[in-house]
Amino acid sequence: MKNKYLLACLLPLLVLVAARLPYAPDPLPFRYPEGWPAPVYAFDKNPLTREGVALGRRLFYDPVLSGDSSISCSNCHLSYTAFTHVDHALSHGIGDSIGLRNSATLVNLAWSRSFMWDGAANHLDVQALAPISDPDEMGENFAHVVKKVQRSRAYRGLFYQAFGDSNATGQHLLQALAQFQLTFVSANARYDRVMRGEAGAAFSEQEQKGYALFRTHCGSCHQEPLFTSGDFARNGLPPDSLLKDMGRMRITGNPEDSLKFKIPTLRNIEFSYPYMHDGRFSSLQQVLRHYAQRIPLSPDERTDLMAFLLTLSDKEFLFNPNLSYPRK
Amino acid sequence: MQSLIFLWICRSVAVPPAAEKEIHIRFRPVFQEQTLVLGQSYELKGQPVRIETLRFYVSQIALIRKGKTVWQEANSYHLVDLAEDTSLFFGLTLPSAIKYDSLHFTLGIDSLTHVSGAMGGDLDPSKGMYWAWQSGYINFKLEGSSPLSTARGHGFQYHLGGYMPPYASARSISLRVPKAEQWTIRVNVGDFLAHTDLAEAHTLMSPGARASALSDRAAAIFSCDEK
Ligand code: HEC
Ligand code: HEC
Repeated sequence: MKNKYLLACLLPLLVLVAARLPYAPDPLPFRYPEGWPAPVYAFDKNPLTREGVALGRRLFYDPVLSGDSSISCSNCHLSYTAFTHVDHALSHGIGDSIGLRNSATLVNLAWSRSFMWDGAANHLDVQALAPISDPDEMGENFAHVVKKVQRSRAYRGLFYQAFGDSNATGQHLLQALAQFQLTFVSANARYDRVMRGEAGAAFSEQEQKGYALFRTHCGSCHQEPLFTSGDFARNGLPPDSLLKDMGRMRITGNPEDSLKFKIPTLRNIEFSYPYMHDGRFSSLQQVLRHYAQRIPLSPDERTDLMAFLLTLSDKEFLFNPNLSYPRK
Repeated sequence: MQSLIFLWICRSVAVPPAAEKEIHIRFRPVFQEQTLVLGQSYELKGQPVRIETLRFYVSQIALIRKGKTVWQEANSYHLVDLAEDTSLFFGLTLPSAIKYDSLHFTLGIDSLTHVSGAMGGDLDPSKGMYWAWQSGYINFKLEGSSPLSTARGHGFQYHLGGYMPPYASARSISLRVPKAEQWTIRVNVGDFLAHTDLAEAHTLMSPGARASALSDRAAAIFSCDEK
């Protein structure tokens, strides 16, 4: 409000300046398969553009985003493994609170209502603040990261092309990261092709049996087609006495939420080991043995279930050249 | 020539039409009767106390007449920061015929804004008023030091926020305002600390029952001289 008159004066000037540089971002329609629920992400507030996604991709792979410029998002989220940190039960890197948990798979984020195993982040845009900021500094560090990005000539151009403002702001930086991550859509596993009735796509007898078992025992939480309902649940894991992770209760303070964690998607599960919020299981066999303690599942049935779970692997997604490290 | 045209455009665009008037709000942080200056020492319960940070959000500004809203500021979000003089003072452009008796605003950020992703301007998460590890704005931030605090280095830090029920911590404030062109709103930090036990509660950085209770106290330190 205080700037209204100043703005009125500057506006013609800005128009003059802008007229010289091309700011014409190329809209990128968000595509997803027919029959899927509508995405949750409010694209009207942050419309996808080719330039925005490209900027987000660059940022995702740039260690400039960590306070001490040592690691990037991709250190813990690798594209070839459904953007998780394979082989590391608890993610390595900055920040104590992050070291508590197994790195999450980043897939189909446009449909998520909350982020992190306990839902600590309420929106994809602001999720990135957690890994970027040093938890002890309460966001002050993010201002420092924004300053570092502002100083880079290359980024000035990219921010201008994406948002019409060469000066990087926290908002635009977060929105660009979100734009890139929103393109992580995995919807072309063999499961999907079978469901779409594509020619030549079919389940084997074993996979078919596994699918039936899955729908009976797992589908209420790992709901199709996203393989998560987005809710928080207890799946019977005993708490780890060292980590003392109370899950959702940390956020809500409600004792009923104790030991509840966000139901993870099972898409590309073959590749996103280790499993569970603390990465306690290194193989799917172990996961199924865990469930078999509460759900009657014979060894044969477990083999069938396993066969079905492997149909959720989407190689086209995992090896999508648009998602990997941006080569200039 | 260009600059002449530019000036002309400025004049024609920027001169407010006579049907509007400007009212200024000035926040005046005080420690009891003294003007509050960052880093300066004041007395609290017989001990010295210094304030290093005072920042808060003022949003949803509205004018009230006989209990009814007669005017609302569009896109109303202001980060007030004692370290930035210009943030303590801002104008409202009102229809000149408007009649009101009270000013209404929210101390903090409403819950809808809280769940709407990354915002810009005063709401940009790089302003140091956003929690990183759990989504949410810090509505009110007060930091300083005093021997009364039992924390290491005798510091105290109150970061009040939280938007989820039952511990939503944004607070509505209504103040009667004078028929003047400037309203001065006192923010008595001394009052906040006088009612806080620094030995027992010196650090608060997460939402919950305590943040909610302290937010009530923070809302009570705002007042307007009705002269
Ligand atoms: C040090 C390793 C590490 C780094 C670096 C890292 N992450 Fe993560 N990421 C994690 C872990 C661990 C989780 C799960 C945390 C939790 O649940 O508390 C996670 C969760 C997420 C989620 C939530 C997924 C979901 O469905 O809930 C998103 C999105 C994400 N990270 C994006 C990013 C982005 C963007 C960056 C870079 C700015 C980044 N991460 C950097 C380890 C990391
Ligand atoms: C009550 C809801 C519920 C049911 C039913 C359920 N799960 Fe889960 N599942 C979860 C939750 C919650 C987690 C995450 C738990 C954690 O990390 O603490 C999870 C985790 C997993 C994981 C690890 C995913 C990862 O990325 O780490 C796999 C694999 C899995 N479930 C498979 C299954 C299978 C197979 C079934 C059926 C036999 C099943 N689940 C039934 C709620 C459920």
